[in-house]
Amino acid sequence: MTNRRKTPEQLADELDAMLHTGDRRHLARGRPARSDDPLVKLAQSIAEKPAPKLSAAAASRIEAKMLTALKQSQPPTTSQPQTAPQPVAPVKHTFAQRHNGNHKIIRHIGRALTFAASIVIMMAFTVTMAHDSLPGEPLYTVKRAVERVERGGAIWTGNMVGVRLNHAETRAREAVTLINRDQFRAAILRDAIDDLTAVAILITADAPRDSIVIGNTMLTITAPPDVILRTTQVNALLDYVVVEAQERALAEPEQIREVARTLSNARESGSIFVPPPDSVVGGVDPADDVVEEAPTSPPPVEVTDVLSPTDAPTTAPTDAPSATPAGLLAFVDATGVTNVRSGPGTQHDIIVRLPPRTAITVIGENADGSWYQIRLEDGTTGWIATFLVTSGTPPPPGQGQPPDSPPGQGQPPDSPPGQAQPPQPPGQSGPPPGQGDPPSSPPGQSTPPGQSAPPPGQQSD
Amino acid sequence: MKSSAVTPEVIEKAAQGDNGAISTIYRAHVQQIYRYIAYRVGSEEDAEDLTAEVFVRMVRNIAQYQPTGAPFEAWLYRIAANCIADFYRKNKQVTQVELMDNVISDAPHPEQRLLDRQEVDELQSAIRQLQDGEQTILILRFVERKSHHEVAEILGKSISAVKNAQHRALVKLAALLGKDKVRHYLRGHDD
Repeated sequence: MTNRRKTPEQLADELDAMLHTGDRRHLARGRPARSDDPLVKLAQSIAEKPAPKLSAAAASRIEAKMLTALKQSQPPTTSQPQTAPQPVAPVKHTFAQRHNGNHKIIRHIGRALTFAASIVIMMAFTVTMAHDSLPGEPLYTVKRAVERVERGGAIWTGNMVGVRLNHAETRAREAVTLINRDQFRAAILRDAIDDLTAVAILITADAPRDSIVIGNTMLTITAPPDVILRTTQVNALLDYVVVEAQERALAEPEQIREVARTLSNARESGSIFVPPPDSVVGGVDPADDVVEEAPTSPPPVEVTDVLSPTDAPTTAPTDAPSATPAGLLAFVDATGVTNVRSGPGTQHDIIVRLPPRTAITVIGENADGSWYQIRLEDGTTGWIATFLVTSGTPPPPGQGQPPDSPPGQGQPPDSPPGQAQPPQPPGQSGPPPGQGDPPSSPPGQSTPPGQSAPPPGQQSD
Repeated sequence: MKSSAVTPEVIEKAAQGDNGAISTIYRAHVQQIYRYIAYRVGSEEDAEDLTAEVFVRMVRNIAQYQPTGAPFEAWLYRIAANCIADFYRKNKQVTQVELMDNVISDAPHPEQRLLDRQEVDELQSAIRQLQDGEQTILILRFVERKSHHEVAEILGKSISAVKNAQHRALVKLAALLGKDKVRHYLRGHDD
């Protein structure tokens, strides 16, 4: 037998003869091909092999998918079958169209997301605008609502103390701003007191570790130094508001007195705490306690006992010292050794370390009032954090005021009655506000409006 | 259902969005389109997806279908070829998956079925190594049993062009399968 290479035409004829095109049955029965040509045999083997078949279930799936696509490509109304065919979608389909025809759903989701994003942006804008609003303004309600949300969130984050302290400070600053506008709102102060009360409760709930003073009672609690400092700030601001309101008669006297009583009662009962300036270091072991100055704002220190005139600073501070307070007699009010630095800040070098109750003279103050420029008895000048300084002369050991007593619980022994004194919240042992003494300066900020610092060179003795 | 059920009237109705007409076309052609795609891609899942894509494209574009004298199935095969080309463009690393679940075998014994399947796999794998046009001609001619004339209509070529391409495709396929007799034949030797 001879197998010569056939032309395409010859091969086609043999293939036609083999296939009997369109008649599968004889192939299925395996009728032997009449040709021995290997190409014909190859073609025959292709034809005889079982072909892939789509199952009925798959055919139904595809048909459903196709009809869904048909429905989506049609307009909503099909009442005009004789009209020109609707423009069909382009052959290049989107991902969503190829996959289950969900493009409409995705489009709706996209719109919903866009709408939600718009709402979020508007809310963020409103919240930002409301941040500086004051009571009585339209956005103040939003501000308070945001604070409620913050409190709710603080439950989860565990920062309830910080949040309530923030709110107390916000209320106090709102009250100060209103005072500056000759307005007084007792409700704001009550809210601040409530927040401070919450702070005290939350702190005392912690395990006892450090000792600070709460109200008039000593209690062992855990309180971070920054909490103490900020609490002190808020207390001072509230004092300032009450005194200003009384002096300028911004409300009914009885209304102001009632707020003052509330504040006073809260402090005396210990429901809010008024730590002394040295409470920051109260828990430090005296054996190794070199006191590092806190970088935050200090508690109020009212320096009124001026013993010497203003001296020009002999060191070169990085911050230009202000004129107040200057030439005021004071002492280091800390339990540990206190650093005196070459400039207002812990980044400056330590010039000398002072033991507790060292007498100093305050001759200047940095811009934010957090550091005093001081002069020592030997003429050395330097800088010391204001919260470590108490006005007056140091009490002798074992006599008079203990070094860790809070301010406002008695005057230095050499401070005659009637003189200006350290800050005292209303209701404490000092004279009530509005009786001639200017309120203490709110810490962490410059001297409040309406209150001037003692002029340089003023002497009380 | 035979494709003869797809009359010009049915196509016209389908172009107007008639569900029944579209289903008629679908049922008339779905199996042959699926076979064509299955031979070309080798995976049951891919073949089903691509078949669905062919008919989705059909319903989206049937309103623009213009009869040219060629059978309607020619249009479907062209859509299928485009879908397959898109598929391979997007899946350049497609592995040759066996068509085991799709193969309908008449062999009574499992052993024979296994042998058949192996042969089928080998054959389909070799076909997929041919050029697109050559694959189409072999499938239309020997799987679908189309005449040269029908294949020429579907492909829009002359009959002689189809015969030449068929010859070339079979020679290549034989070489790929590596059968001895085929090698002899290709060399033009006498036995």
